Amino acid sequence: MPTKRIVGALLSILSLAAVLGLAPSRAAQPGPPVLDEPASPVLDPSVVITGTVDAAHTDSLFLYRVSGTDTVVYRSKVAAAAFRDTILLLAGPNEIWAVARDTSGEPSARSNTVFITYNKRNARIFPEVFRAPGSFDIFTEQTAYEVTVDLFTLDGERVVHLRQAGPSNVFRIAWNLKNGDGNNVRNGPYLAMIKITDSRGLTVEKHFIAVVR
Amino acid sequence: MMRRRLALCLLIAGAVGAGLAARAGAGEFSRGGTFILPAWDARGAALGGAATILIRDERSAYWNPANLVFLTSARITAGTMEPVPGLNDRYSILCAGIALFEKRSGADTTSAARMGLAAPPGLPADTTGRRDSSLALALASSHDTTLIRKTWGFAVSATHLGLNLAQGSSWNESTIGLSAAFAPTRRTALGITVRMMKSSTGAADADSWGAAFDAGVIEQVTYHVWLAVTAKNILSHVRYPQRTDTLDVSWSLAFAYRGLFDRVSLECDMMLKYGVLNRLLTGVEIAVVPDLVFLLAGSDIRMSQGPRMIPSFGLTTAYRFAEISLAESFDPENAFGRQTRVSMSFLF
Repeated sequence: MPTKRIVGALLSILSLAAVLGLAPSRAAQPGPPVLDEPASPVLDPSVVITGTVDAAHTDSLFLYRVSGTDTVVYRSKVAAAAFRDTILLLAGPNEIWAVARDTSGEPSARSNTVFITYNKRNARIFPEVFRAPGSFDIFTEQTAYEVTVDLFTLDGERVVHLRQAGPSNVFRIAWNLKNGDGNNVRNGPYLAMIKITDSRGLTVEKHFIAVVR
Repeated sequence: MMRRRLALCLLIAGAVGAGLAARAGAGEFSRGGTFILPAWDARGAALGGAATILIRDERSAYWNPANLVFLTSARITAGTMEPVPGLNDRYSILCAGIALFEKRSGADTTSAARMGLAAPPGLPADTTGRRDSSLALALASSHDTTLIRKTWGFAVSATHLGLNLAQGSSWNESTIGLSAAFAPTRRTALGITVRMMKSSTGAADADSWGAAFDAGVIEQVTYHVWLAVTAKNILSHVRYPQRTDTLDVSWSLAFAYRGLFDRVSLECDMMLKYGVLNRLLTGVEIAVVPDLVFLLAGSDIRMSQGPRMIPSFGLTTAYRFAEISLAESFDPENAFGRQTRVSMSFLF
């Protein structure tokens, strides 16, 4: 009987303490991280993501990299308000966002989303079927002085000559689906001859494309 | 004879004028399109495309349908090439032709004399005392195509182009052609080709179908000299899912001299397109061993879009019922480079 009285007394004291705010308090949710806007497109798969966190309440940072259906999470401990983490990108567009967590694992709200496109060195990005005005995106490993794109019919007649001067590693050569006289080209297949001039000389590439409108 | 020559001059003037008027404000660059045939047979390609007069068999379904009347027997030809060497593409042709209804010789003896066709020296006179070289020589050889022997000529042709676009989608174009020729005299013939066209591709909303007409005329001016006019895609219609379109019209005016030193034939074609002189084609054929081995050479001079000359060379061997031709073209543009064509023909 004395035991029951002791337990009851302790419970009463604890309840009173909780009411008076003497019990251990719950930690505040950390503020969302803020990511710095990175450069895009890039030619290397490894990229450094920088930003800031709520240092007072953040214990660790979770960086999410999403490319298509592929998602990778990078976790790092946070020691200061500014952070700097290196992640790996997949070829093409990548979405990156972050969530901070406190010591108890409480997550913050989601950070802003940044977008980075990774193009492999020597990538050639253009549609095989042009349905509207588009462009030939040429990425070169070596700095190129000039890139030209000549379009021919299959019997060897030239349709248009497009050119962009460097020096640069990234060339975007627009085509408005018109020939050299300013007339709309017809639907059909064409030979695209891409010539890249750099310090090593001249590189020629050929691809079939089509115009369909 | 004067009336014939006047008619011929009017024909030529009309052709040139029509060609020049083909496109008002025409430019120098192609508008491209579907169903642009990259080539035909190896023998014509070896002549640099100057085959409007010199090719006189079922292959004329493309070069000049009027020449089908020169066929001395039924023939079939198959050929193939890579339009762009190094890429996954192939173009193939198949054509067969026959000429019917032998022309009677009597009337043409008189007409030949009236034309005053100059006879090469040393030829014996015929029974009328006139030196009618055209009949005397041509009829002596059953395979000689100096004169038109038949009244009607017919041909069926088929082509197929297959290639892969940059990301792997397929692109295929096929045509079937029906050709007919009529020769009112031994020195004049007219012809027409109708082509039905169909494309099937791996791209959405890109398939098409259509039809086009070609026409041709050939005229013998003297024993050695021939003139011809052809028009390609003189009428055309191509239907796509979202639009319709036409093909570019091109006119060719050809001049040929056959039988120089009895072994050499020369042809020069002027091709008019977009209202301007688009190409100048020249070809020479040398009978190294008559009726057996021929050496061919030609050049295709593209007059616009940054002038360039495409030389070509070839070899044709014929024996009894078979003929094989090989042609090499050397395009100075890196895009096309060296093109090889092979074709085989069989006589029945």
